[in-house]
Amino acid sequence: MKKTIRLTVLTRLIIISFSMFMGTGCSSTRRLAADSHTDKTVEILAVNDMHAYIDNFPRLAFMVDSLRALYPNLLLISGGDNQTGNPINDQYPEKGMPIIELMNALKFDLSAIGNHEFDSKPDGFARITNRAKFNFLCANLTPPANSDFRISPYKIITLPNGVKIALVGLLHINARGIPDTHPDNVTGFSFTDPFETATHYLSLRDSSQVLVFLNHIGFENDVLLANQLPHNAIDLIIGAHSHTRVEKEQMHNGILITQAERRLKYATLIKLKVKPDGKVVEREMKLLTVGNKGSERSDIRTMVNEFNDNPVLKASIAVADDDFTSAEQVGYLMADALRAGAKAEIAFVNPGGVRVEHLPKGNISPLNVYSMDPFGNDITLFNLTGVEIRRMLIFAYKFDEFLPLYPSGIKSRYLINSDGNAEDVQLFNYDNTPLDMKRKYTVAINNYMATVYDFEHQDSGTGLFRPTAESMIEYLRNQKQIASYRNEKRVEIIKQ
Amino acid sequence: MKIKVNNTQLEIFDGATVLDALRVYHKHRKRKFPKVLPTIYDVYGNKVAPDGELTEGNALFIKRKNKSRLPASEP
Repeated sequence: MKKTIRLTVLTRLIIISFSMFMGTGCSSTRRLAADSHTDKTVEILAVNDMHAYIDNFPRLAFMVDSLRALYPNLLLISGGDNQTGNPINDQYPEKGMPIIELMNALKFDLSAIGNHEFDSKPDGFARITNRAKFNFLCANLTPPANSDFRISPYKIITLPNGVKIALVGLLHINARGIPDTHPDNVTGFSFTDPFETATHYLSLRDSSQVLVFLNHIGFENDVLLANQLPHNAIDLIIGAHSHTRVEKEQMHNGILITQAERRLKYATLIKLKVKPDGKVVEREMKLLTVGNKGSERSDIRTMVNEFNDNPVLKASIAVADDDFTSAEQVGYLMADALRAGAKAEIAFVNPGGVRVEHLPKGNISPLNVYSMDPFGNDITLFNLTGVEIRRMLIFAYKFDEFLPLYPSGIKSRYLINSDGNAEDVQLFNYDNTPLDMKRKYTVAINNYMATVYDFEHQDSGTGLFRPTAESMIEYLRNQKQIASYRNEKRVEIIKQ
Repeated sequence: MKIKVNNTQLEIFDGATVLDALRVYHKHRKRKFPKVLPTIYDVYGNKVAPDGELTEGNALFIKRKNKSRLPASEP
């Protein structure tokens, strides 16, 4: 009997020791085992591309509180692009802070870095990462030397139930080797290809049961990445950037991929079941409607109302010396601001893009700018010859119901035939010398014009990732005093 | 960058959105841009918002009256 008991105890000690030995990860492909014999769950609520849509935060807060009551281990995660899209946030004296304060109030755990995080420019972005009480993740960027950005490539979180979850951030890089943002916004940063970078973080499997990529690369790229990785190499991709509404499970190469469209219309609730051996055996997702209707948290509503009541949009940013008395005068001002914002030689504003015909002398506010330019257009930059510019102007004259484009940097003379169409457009420098029609010029227009104008040209253009309205606000702040445009005459119409 | 709308390859500026792509598509097809924005899908059957940011090689589909089958994800 005593010999039997000793053997049993010895066997158990051997089994326990063996388990502990195996649990130290002697094999690089071994998942970290959980420290209990029961299944565990991981719950994540993911949003993406909020674009500073703060009005839906009170509703989100209520939902988060309700879910945290059900799932005490719930992680609240953003897929990036928290910024840009709401003047209340974008024109705040500390640009971008309202959404960060609200994310802090909701106790976000993590955010990926999206391309629009850089819209605050390096100094502003650094301030944001330090004000945030959550981590910003991105594994394929290196901040400028001697900067104080609080950014990590990944984070391992140990949940109260003992599950270790590793999250890695990845950001889309375009053909120019930077994210989709103005090059000035990423001065000093260096970036690597996200697909290549991803492979360096698969070894986080050794120190976690769950491995998640927090990608800001677009859904189709998420699928490409998933298919390039070894099967089941990671458990989940929380996606962003493409504003895709993933309503049903999207499994690719054993990896669940989610995305919740944008602007807090939706959030994705994700549940993972983890076995005692550390394997994730079940992955579920459900797209929840957030919106702004339904129960909400009153303290967050108070915060949002305070941000919305901020007088920053009505504050004076420049003073006009004279009244603007026509859409043409306002159009020239907008074209000058566009040319300055794009650092282009020439700029054009379409007549349909000028929504204000009169602006009184005196203070100009951001609200005035958004009234002039309400469409949320972005700047696009082209390299066009004089001949191509002429083609564009001839096409646009008919397209825009027989109204000319408002130029900056050149003057134009339209020769109108008996049908009312522009038969020819002559172009001149400001000193009235003819424009060199063979030379190429940098020409700034808005993205609407870039996509609807049908004229023969070589260059397909480049987006500068700057809203035209924001560029105009910056121009006015720099100019401070706006001289009269009353006698400004850059367009001549001659009816033949 | 090159993208596709309804399997038509288009050249569009870097940084274009889904809405920009639809405008270029209708321009290419010499069609008037619809007054009501159609529902837009990706190749996996997901709906995409019109301000979605495009990347090289993206493929979009506009819902038509006679619905065509879109590729599905894994079962």
